[in-house]
Amino acid sequence: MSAALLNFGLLLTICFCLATWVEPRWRKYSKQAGSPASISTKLLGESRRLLAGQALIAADKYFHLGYYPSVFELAEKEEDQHFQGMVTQTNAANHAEEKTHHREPLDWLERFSRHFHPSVHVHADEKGEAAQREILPWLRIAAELEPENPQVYVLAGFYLRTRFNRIDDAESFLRDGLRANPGSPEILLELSKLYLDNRNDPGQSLNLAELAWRRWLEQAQKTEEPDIFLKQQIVTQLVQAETKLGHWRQAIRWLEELKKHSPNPESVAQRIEELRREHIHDL
Amino acid sequence: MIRNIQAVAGVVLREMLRRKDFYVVLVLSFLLVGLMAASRFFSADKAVASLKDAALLIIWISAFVIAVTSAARQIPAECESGTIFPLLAKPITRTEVLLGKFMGCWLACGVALAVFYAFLTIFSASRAHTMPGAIFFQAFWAHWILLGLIISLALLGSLVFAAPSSNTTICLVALAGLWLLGGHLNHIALRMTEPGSTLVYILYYILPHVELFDLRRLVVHDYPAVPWLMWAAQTLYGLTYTAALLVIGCTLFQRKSLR
Amino acid sequence: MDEPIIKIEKLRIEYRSRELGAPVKVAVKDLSLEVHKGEVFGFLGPNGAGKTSTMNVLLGFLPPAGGRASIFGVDVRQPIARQRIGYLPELTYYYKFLTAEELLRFYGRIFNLPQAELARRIDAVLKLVGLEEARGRLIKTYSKGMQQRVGLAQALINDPDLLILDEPTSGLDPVGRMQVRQIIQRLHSEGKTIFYSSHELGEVETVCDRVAVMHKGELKVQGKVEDLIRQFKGNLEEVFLKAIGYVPAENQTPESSPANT
Repeated sequence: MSAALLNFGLLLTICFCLATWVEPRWRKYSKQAGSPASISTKLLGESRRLLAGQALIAADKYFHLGYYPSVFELAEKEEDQHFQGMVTQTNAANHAEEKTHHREPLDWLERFSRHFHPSVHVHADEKGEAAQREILPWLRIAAELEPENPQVYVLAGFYLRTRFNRIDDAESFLRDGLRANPGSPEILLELSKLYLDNRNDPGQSLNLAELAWRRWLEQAQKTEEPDIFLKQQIVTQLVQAETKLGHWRQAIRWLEELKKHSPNPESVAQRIEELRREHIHDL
Repeated sequence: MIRNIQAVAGVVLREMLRRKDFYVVLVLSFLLVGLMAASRFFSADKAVASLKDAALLIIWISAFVIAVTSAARQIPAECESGTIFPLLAKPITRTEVLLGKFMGCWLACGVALAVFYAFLTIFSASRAHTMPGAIFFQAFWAHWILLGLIISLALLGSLVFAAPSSNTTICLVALAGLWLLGGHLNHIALRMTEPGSTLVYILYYILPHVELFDLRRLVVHDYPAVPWLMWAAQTLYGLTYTAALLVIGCTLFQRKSLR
Repeated sequence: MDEPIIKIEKLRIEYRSRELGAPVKVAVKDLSLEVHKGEVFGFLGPNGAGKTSTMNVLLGFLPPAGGRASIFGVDVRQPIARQRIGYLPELTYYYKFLTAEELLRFYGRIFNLPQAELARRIDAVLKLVGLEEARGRLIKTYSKGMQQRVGLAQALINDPDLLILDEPTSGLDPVGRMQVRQIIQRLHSEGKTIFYSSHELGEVETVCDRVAVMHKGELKVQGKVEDLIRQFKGNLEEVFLKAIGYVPAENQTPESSPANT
């Protein structure tokens, strides 16, 4: 009996010593390998990105209150553009809403089946806060599975601060996103909007917007097709921040930048003129 | 005839209630739903729809598994264990035996479904602080009618395929195919050339449409109830297919050699 | 004379193979026999003689390829023909997840026995077969002998006028065999008709009034036990062996060897 106990004690000691020797080396290896510590990555590997995509689609489905076209219907151009728009366009309220189904049913069976699933195109905005809150868990799952996707953090931040008035949660989540995606111009832009719209801090908002602009320029230099839409959003935010701070000259400079790629340059030019007229003495 | 069918159904119910795997599936499902309910996203303890969605998916998968596995083994188990012989030596026909098996499995699945949906209704009402609407009942009813169709399909399969395991696999795969693709065969047919297009369109009309019974999205997003006339038509659709499959099954069972 | 309880006329039973071109196997050819009320009728034959196939037709498990069979004047293919019969299979085929009482109640419902009558019958048959103590236990906990007795109980639940017994003492110890013999004799004394298949020729000689011997699907001999013993000048085993044409090895000539019969 005592021999068995001694052997057990000896084995335990050996295990402990091995563990203390292996642990710092494993930690170092993990950092070098670049593997994040999340369970989802360990379990799923790269397939987590597929699941993250599905979580985003689920969020989109919830945004549309269960109404979602099939892959066959998505092949039709007009449906495709709209239903992929939620991910990239944070202001869902700008979508034109259609009350009727995009397409007539092909036969009586399809017409009959439309009674048993959502078949009217509607957005969660119409149903109130409770419906919109349902999108958040899916965004959280998408962020957990694919932290390298800044769009998820931007979308979640948008909903948290604009629909649910949870500013602290929004900022916390956006900063988590920044840690996972250092220097992401999308996340920096959303943070800038948060500080301007919700914290009423145009100074900090301007700092963040300028940082977003610098990051966007760095990215634009590395690619042949820079994201002009993002650029326009950043520049618009800079205009708003500078305007709020009363920095008219800088605001006009940013408006000039905005005019370069604006689909409506006349209205931008008109705005520049208005600013010059109103603040001629401050320029 | 009714008496004999009831008697056989009673035995099937007893068997299912005394089999542990029935309870294992139930308990596992409740555990999964409970675990999800306990977790929080953004402190969103009011995220009811997501939990209803996940709970309904678990209910659907569990119900399919229970229905197919229990129906698939009824006749083969009777033939293999030999209990079919003293049974058929009584004044009972093979048709009554098959219908009794069907009723027993269907009722047992109905009990399991009722428990699941009751749990879901209570959970949903407690989270959302509103009384659930008639859509909950319609979803439960549609699901139960669909399970009747599935059970009749599995019973028919048990008369065609040699082993319950192969029958179960084939039924589950066929079910998944019908659920995911059955409703879209008309779109697929449009993109095909003749004669494939016509064949696929014929299949589209002949095969049962499982998606007609899937009211989950309406429940999850708190839609109003389906018009009762459409609900009645849906019930009739399901019962018609079930009856057709049972008729084919009874015909095959009459001719089946028991030894 | 009364209508026979069992009447078989030129019965032919065939088994068709699923393989293409495979010949049809004839299990029973042109069998004709009758069993009268109150008789204990022994149905004998070596393995593969066609006894089980004949029973399967009588019980409606198998359709005949030719001829006809009737029980109580009703064609065997009608379920009502089985209203007044009790069947004891050779092997114990009962629902293991039920108790003896539940099994009997189930079968009693199929016979459309009224509730009160059914309860009385269940008590009576369980007492008769000695399973009163174990009535609430699941059948899967029963020994082989107890399962055989459950079988006898379910065969008697409807107080049948005809009992079809397939090897009723198979697998039982001597005490169990004696008890079954006593039950059969008691049922006989009550006027029941018993159709009995067994390999225990000593038992058959004791219990049966008439016997029929089958071999290779044909009826070789039938008649009263004492008449056959007198005719073949030997006991029932010798009657059986002579009827099927069995010649002991030491007495075989080239013409009488099994290869030539």
